[in-house]
Amino acid sequence: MMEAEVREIDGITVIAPRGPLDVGAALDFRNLLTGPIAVQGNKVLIDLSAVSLVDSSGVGVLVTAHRQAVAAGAAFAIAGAVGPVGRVFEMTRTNKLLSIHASVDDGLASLRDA
Amino acid sequence: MSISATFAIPSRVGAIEDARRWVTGHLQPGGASADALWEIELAMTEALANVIKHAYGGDGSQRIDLALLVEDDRVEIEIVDSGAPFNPASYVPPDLEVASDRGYGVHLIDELMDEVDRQPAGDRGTRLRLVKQGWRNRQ
Repeated sequence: MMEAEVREIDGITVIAPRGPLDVGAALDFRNLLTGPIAVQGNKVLIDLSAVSLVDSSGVGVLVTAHRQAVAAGAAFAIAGAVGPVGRVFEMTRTNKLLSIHASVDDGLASLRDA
Repeated sequence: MSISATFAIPSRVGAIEDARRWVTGHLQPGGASADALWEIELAMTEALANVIKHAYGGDGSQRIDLALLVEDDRVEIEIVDSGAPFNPASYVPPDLEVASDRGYGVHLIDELMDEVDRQPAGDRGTRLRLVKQGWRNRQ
């Protein structure tokens, strides 16, 4: 079972999963994102600071969530993808699609302007 | 320094964490670098996920055998299943110009490991060998 903290900061929903974001956590993570990204005007920031490992399933959930958010008219961004977690997005080149920020503050700033 | 160990997990995604802990438990005390540890953990995660999803088709009642061979500058992990064999001819590499929600597993394994080798195992199944060189912190 995936653990995650969800909080609201300045009208932005910040979702911070913990531990591995892998094939074993992908379904829980997908279900957690489904509601927030489906509402027009919502702003959702995924904070990966406490994530130890992201695999291709985790990347897949984030790519799908990004596209669903865009389709619904919600704003969607990722923060804290540094070190090995950030490398996975570079290796799959999904960093070209996803809006990825080094820190939560940077991610929040980008969504305030969205 | 040389370590040889074996482990087995059921073919369920929830058991992949156990396999990662098993490998880390052997490599971390041996001075594994953080980068190598992450690369090995991720490659193994992708390989085990492929076995569970594709070789066993999601059947969680099967078994996956792992073997670890650690030498001074080399880590070898062997993953053996008895499911449907991997067919290289049917593998289509991901188009990295177009972001996708699937299809990166084999690409990541190939990028992260120094050697990747797949051989038939017994009458049915696959023996996947992953090799990582230079896995320890430089002294």
